[in-house]
Amino acid sequence: MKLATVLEIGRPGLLATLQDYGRFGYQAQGITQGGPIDERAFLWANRLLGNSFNAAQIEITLGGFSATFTRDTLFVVTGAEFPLTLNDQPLKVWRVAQARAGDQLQIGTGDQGLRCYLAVAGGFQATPHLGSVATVMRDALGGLTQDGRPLRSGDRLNAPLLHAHSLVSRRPSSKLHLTLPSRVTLDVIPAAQVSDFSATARELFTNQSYQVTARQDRMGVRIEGESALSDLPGQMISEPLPLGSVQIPTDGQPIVMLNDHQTLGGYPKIGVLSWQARSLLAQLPAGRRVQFRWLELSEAQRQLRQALRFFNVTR
Amino acid sequence: MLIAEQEWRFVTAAADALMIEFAAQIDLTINAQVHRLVQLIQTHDGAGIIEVVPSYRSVLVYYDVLNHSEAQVRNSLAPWVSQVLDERESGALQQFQNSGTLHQIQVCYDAEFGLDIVAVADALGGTIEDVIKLHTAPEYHVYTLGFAPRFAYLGDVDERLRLPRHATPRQKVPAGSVAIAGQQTAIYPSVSPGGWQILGRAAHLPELKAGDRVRFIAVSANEFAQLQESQS
Repeated sequence: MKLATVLEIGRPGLLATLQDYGRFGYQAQGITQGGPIDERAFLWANRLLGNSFNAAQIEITLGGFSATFTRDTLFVVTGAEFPLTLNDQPLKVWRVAQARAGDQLQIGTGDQGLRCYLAVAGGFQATPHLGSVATVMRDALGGLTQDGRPLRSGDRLNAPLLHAHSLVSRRPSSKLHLTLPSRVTLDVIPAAQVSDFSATARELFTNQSYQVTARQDRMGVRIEGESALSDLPGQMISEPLPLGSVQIPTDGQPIVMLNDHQTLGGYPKIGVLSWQARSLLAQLPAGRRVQFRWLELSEAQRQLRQALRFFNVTR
Repeated sequence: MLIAEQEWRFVTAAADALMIEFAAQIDLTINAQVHRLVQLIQTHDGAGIIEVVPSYRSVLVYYDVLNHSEAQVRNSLAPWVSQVLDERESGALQQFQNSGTLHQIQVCYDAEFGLDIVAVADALGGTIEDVIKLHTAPEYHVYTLGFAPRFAYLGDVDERLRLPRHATPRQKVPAGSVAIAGQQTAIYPSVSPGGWQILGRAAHLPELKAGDRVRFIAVSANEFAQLQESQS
């Protein structure tokens, strides 16, 4: 496979990181998975470009990003609906576009989402570390320089040179567009220690509305309800922590574990977010209201299988 | 689902993950059950197991949800759990427990590296030599890895040496620091925040796997410097 530089970062914005689907098979060594927080937007971008599901993209948090294409390529931006321009001409998010060498890409800021994904045909290439290029800053893993550092101004990214594609206007079916409802319902699978919570706590969890807080990063997001859950299960022996777990620490307010979460956790978990719910939460700015809703395991699995098949995800 | 007098159970962990839990204790025999179960799962294919994550008393199993139901995975795992419990009864588990790789790790306990060793000795009402003796005496067992990449939780620390974490964690614990907290001891693989009591600095950190065994060997500052040099 022949590689050539395809993009040079101008401004990375608040945080821009290289992410593939994630680093799997190393949790037993305490190594977390990383990967895109909004998995749905990430997988759509690869699908729209005909890439492998695992092809690396740039995850851009809160916009404010600019870059120059250094050669012709097809590209797409998915996820948060930040204003997008190529050489000052507005472009649509979720729509594949053609870039020419020298074209300037600008991604502005906005309140319709938190994270967008910039993908190019063939995917960005970097040397994998433990089988993945996913950037985990906290653990100094992955990324362009295999040390977990985020992208910065002047970074040049490679992608495979592909045979000239014709520009086909591939776009996702409209129902899968990201439109953030003012009030979001997050489906939760009852799991882990759910039966150790009191009936009152379990009811309050789904009956009251919650608010996403600013206390969030790629490890997790704190969510706050008017009333804290009370009479919680006691502290437990730490155990492996799956992605999307809803931990309830002693203050009775949920923390949802995101992709860079620690591999072990000692707080009781009331459940785990569904695949869809994770991608919804990935886009919610602080202050956005959410409501939790129970989702049976069988239905959650049906949704997950549908997504994995649709996006050709294999592990 | 509780079987065999609550000795173990399955718990749904995620849409594609199942937890197997043994009794809720930090205990060498229970942890040996965990690691023997992991070994059995990994040496036998079945039910599309993708990744296995052991911890103190539980094993998280990720499975191929496209082709397997949770019930199938439970059915395929249950016989391995039974075998582990049988082996405990027959004494075979004890042999397994002693079969993990033994690592010898040189540690310099000088106060230059052992940032808390003087305070720990005071808390014990003993000398620094007493602390070194207590910390190097046991053969430790790797219960689990977590917290950070390659951070291994070792136990059991001698009862006389069991001290709480610092009320306020340090912002930066130096890489290689050897520390204790309660019944556990560990080596910090890289610089990180941490609240454990730091006793010394390891000359090297081998790749530890859950179920391995570790012995600490006290070395002087000179030997430590030589060991470090020979490795670089």
